[in-house]
Amino acid sequence: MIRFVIRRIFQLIPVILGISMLTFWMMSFVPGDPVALMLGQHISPQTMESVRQELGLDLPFLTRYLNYLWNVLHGDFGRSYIQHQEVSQMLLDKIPVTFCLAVVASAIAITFGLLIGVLSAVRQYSFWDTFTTFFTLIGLSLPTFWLGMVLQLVFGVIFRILPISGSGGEGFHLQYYILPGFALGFASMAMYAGLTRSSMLEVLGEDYIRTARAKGLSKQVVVFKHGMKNALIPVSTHAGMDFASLMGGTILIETIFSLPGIGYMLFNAISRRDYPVVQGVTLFLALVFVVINLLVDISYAFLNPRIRYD
Amino acid sequence: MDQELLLRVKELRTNFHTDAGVIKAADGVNLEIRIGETLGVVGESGSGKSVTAMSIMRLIPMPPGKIVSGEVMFDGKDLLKASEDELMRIRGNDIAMIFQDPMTSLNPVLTVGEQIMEAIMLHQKAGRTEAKKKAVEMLKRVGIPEAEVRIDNYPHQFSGGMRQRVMIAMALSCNPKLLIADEPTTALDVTIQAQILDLMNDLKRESGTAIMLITHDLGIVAELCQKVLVMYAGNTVEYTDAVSLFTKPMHPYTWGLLGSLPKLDVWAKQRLEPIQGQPPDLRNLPQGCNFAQRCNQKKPICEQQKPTWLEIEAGHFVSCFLYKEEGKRHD
Amino acid sequence: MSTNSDADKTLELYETSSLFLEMWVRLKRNRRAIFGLFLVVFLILVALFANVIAPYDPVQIALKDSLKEPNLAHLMGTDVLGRDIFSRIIYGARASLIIGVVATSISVVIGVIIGAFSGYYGGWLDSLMMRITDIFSAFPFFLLAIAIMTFLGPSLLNIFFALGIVGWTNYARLVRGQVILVKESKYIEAARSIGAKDRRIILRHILPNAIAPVIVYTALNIGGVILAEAGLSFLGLGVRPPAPSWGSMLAEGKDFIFNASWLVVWPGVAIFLTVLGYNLLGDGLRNALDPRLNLRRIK
Repeated sequence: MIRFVIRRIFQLIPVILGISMLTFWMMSFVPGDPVALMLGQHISPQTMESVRQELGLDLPFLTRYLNYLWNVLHGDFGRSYIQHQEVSQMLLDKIPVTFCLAVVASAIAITFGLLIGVLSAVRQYSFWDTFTTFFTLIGLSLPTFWLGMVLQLVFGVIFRILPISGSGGEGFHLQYYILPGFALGFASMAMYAGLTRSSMLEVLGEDYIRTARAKGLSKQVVVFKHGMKNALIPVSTHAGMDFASLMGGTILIETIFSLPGIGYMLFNAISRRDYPVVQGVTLFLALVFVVINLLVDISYAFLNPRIRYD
Repeated sequence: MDQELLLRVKELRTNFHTDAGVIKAADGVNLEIRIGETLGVVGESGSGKSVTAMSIMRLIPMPPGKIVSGEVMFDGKDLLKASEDELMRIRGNDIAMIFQDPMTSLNPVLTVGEQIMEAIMLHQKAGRTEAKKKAVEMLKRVGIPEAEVRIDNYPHQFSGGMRQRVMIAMALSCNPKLLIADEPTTALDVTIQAQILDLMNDLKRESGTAIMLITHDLGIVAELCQKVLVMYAGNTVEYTDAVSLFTKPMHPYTWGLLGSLPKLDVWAKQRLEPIQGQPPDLRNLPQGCNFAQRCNQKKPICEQQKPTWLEIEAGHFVSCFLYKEEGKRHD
Repeated sequence: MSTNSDADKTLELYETSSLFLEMWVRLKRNRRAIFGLFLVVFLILVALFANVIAPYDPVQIALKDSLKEPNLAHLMGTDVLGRDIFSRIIYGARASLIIGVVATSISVVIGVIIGAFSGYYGGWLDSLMMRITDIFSAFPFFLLAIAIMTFLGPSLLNIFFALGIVGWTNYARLVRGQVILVKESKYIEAARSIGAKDRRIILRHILPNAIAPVIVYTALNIGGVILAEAGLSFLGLGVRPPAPSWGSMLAEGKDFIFNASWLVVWPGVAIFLTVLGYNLLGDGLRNALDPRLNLRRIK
């Protein structure tokens, strides 16, 4: 198991190098002179030149990349053109909000997704089952951000029981995260429901389920103890992919619900053409995604003893 | 009634509803098992052996399966009328089951110990420590070396033969009165087969458990079984003790089975070979005897009526018009 | 090339045309898939005949008609600039269809080429290609598209590029897997043993077998691409205004959500039905293909 984890970590090195190279390379597509963008228009050519040298922008591509990589490895993701602040500091400020949103969304998605999936598998051909099939297809077809807006409309006009905007200031206020979390997690919930259903149906037809039934175990024990873990193995491989869509969705959802997280920060950076922030956030989120995938792989191995003892 | 009688199945019928029609997988099954006795059930694939076993356990997946009619008297109780709660107390406790493929019959994500212990904890109301002790003891009894260590292993860490030993340990852990073994050695190597059968025989002698042994192998029947049941196309066609089956077979289908042996040496190990022709389509059974088309003793009545299950000699049941054409009237 | 006819005979079992026929027969029985197909065909027709169907010019500003509720003259109401929502939705189908098709085609071409070579030749080429695939799929799909669009600037061509470049990795993996599966099978050995060339083996024998799962994935993927395009346009990174796009219509309507909800309702419904159409169709195709896939696995 430990060897498996170490091997997986080593496999990440080329991926991380590739990611950083790609995000670094993006910067060279910026239209116009980065120094001019940074300092504004009315700067003397001499100052521009000295800043350029100070920043190392006159060095060859590879040297500049290595410098960039070195900085990134020291937690330096660049500086914002507009707010004149370290991107890493800005990220640190915004992480809690996005983290809470992701946790609430995942919790909603996983809890309800698995529950709906298991129920429909156990009662195949019932109303529930038909419902789940439709629910899955609808969930995967709804634009996340539109769902967010519809929720705002419904809860802002009709129900008025949950706040539809903002994070409620300092600290974590769950009620502010419920609607955005639901909107963000809805597609994942549908995906988990569909995957769990088909996976559970397959597992329930296995010989070892018959063995468990022949032992006199109750249907609940058979489904949850003998079926669940096996059914979750294939589902868990999708968790990484699902998290990617979740992360992509945060920018839209945070924008719509005015949640001051990384996504909202990215939205603002995009609209103000604050390139280093976009670059830094992209790199950071890609790295987070890589780590999440690593954790997913490890938990997959943990669920599946055949891999664990390889 | 026979005090020794443990299980009596009468006219059991189980159907499967598929898109292509209703499959009559068990279509009039009759059998008896006495305490401590081994009954061999033989027949071609698709003759309804496994369906009978699963119907006795009430483990037919519903839908698509459905037990239509019949009676399964076990220990004085009709299992077809029993509630799910009663069945759960009987399964694994009074009737245990082992299956053909030990590779797929054990749950890959639970340790073998856990899988043995859960039945013990459930039926014998034992705590974890006690159950574990019992599980180790069972693993030792079925001949698994270093049982104390192996108990924490997962199924994929065992060989096929070892897994079947685990299955046996699991099945016998609650001292069942009846063990249903559905082709327990078919998926194993020949040398392992003999070991597993010897083990089952030894355990049976120690514990007095009755066994319903489903097999393709007449050699196994000759070696292990006191009674034999022959099945064909969902019907039971002949039931008798092992000796008279080999010395005085009565049903033409049984003749066919035995005729496919190289010589009538009862100890010869020989797989069943199919008789001329094909078994009938279970979705579309003939009006008369299911075996009529392939039977070389066919009479006109065979294609018009179903033969009844009759005791021709003491303890020797046959379902064939050769013996009592007018059998129905005596019923 | 008379020797190849023998190899082609071995291929007959896997004849692609019969595969598609089989798929179609199974698909026809699936009511949901047919509904999906209907939605997709409907969308294509709307996009093709937008200029005929739309009652108004989608970019015609009429400030006096600003924010009119849905009525007989404007079936879905008007936006803040007085433009007819219904007409904009109809023209929006064009943008969404073109982007969905072109971006997906780019992904398919890149992915199939890389996957086929990677799977067929194996070795260092395979390792290198797969590492590159790993790097691209290490980015969350939508995030990478956002980053690319930010740096390249919004334009139709850049959208094609951004959504095409982020989507090819799954095709590469899919085709590579299929190629490896097929490569090891008997009839490819037969083709090779009678001296068929690599290029011929890949083009004539391997790709046709990999193509069915690619089609299934494509149907499912177009839906995702259309959702991503809507998201990009919503962030102001998509189709440039005033050209109508469902995503940018949602962005424009966002600020009026409580006083003019029709601004956000209709574009969302349009996106939803379009994506649902592709998903239903893709799902149906996958089910129609499955028996065949199972058959191969057994072999």
